[in-house]
Amino acid sequence: MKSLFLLTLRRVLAPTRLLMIAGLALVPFAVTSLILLIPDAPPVQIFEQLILNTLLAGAIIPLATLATGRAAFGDEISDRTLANITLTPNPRWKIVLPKLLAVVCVPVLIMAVSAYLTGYLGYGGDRSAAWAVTIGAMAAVVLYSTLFVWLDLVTPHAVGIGLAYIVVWEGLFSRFVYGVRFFSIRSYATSVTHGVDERRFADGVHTGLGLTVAVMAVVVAVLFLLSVRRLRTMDSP
Amino acid sequence: MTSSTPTPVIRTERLTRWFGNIVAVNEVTLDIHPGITGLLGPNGAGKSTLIRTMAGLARVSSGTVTIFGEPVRNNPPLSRRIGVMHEHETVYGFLTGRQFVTLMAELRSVTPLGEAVERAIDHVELQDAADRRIRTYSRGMRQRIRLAGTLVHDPEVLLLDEPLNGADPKQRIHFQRLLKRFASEGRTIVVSSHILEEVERIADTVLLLVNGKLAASGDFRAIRAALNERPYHVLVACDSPRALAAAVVELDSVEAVKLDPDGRIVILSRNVRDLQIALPKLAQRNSVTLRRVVPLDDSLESVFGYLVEGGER
Repeated sequence: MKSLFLLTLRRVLAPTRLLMIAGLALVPFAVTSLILLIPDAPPVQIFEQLILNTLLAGAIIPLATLATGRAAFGDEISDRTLANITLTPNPRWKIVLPKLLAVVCVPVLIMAVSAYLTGYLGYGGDRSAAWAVTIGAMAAVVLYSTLFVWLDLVTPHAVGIGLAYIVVWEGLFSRFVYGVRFFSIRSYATSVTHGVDERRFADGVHTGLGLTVAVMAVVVAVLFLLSVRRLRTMDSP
Repeated sequence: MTSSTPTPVIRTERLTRWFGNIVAVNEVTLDIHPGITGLLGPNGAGKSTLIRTMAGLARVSSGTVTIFGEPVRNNPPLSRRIGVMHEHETVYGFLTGRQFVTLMAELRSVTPLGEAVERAIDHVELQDAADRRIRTYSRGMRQRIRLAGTLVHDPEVLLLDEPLNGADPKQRIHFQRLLKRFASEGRTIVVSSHILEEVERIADTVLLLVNGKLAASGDFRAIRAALNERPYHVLVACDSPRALAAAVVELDSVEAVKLDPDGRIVILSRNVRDLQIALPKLAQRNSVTLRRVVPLDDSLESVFGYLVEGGER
């Protein structure tokens, strides 16, 4: 498993990909800094909705994880190296698990730094609030990564479908269609942030932290098992 | 073991694979025994699909594939006994050759690791370049390092899809020797190629695949003999076709002659070598100027086509 983890990590750490994630990670912090330069800075609710909810959890994190998620299987399917891995005596879960860990560990660190700095800045130096935002962001990275790893296994159009999902499902439906938020990673992230620090996202309707974490664990487990099953049944390129 | 071993190592029964409305492999039933088996066929004949289904990389639409009596799909432990090198360049350009072979060994839990890696790299004679990144390799070198990765776990069965692509003549000879040595150790080796001569040099047994169907199988010498006896069509353009046709028909090497509507001669011959020698002399003797002499069915497809027709007769 270590070999596969390191192999995938090398793909994740490809300079272009790393530069892209780092660039994305800077955006919320930069936008927050610009907003704070305005003499009449907007209220905290606007910061939460626009920067944390819409920008960080609804755009930056999914885009970054869509890019890194491809390093697990998308790249291997494209360059036809997947057969090197599937033609081994390893059970399929031992292939999916290290790859998933590798594509999670890099963006989770980068996005944690971005979320912490953005939260710290936006909440005027409130460390507990910054930590709440960070934990919410880290949870979102894990969920989005698991989703996109599975998506890469089921369709050759994972990037297009992933982008459509980010814009349509997370960007539109989960905001304007009431029930959809229960199936939205963005909503889970804000629920986690609120659960860790109840002063944050205080205006919204949230499920409890325990329930949110349980639902997220189920989603990750189901997507993981679906990936294992798909790897078992698909044709290797 | 020899090819007369009763229990085949690889067996396919009515193996069929469809891609949408296209049938890539059509009801192929075959047995493969230890030794080198050449899988021969023109491009698009279904060779790669057949190898991929044998390796368990691709599903079958119907029929079965077994290796050592075990199903190949969803059978990871069987991978320890099989080495597969498929047609595409499945290497990681960012790794060095040695790192790639080490990775292949680690993924198969090979022990002792270092020894196996060095032996595999020695097999393909790539020690000097083993610490260079694969992206700097020539095509032939990439093929060799892939072969090292395929051999590193010392498999009993080797499935090699067009392994000599990109290899230079020296590498080809080395590769042929290597495969013969492996075969003499009792391994079962399947090598696909669309080049008749290439397979002829290494394989004892040949499976001929055309349009997804097993057109012929057996000893290569019998297939080669059939090839040598096949009739050739030769098109001749000249300034006096009727005169030349009248003279050509008298040659022993010629079976039939006809004039096409454009005034060119089409000669059917079973001995093209004699025809090649006789034709210029005949033209000179009859004061005919030859403009073009073109073999019409020298392409690989026509060779395979002939063998298929022969097999169906």
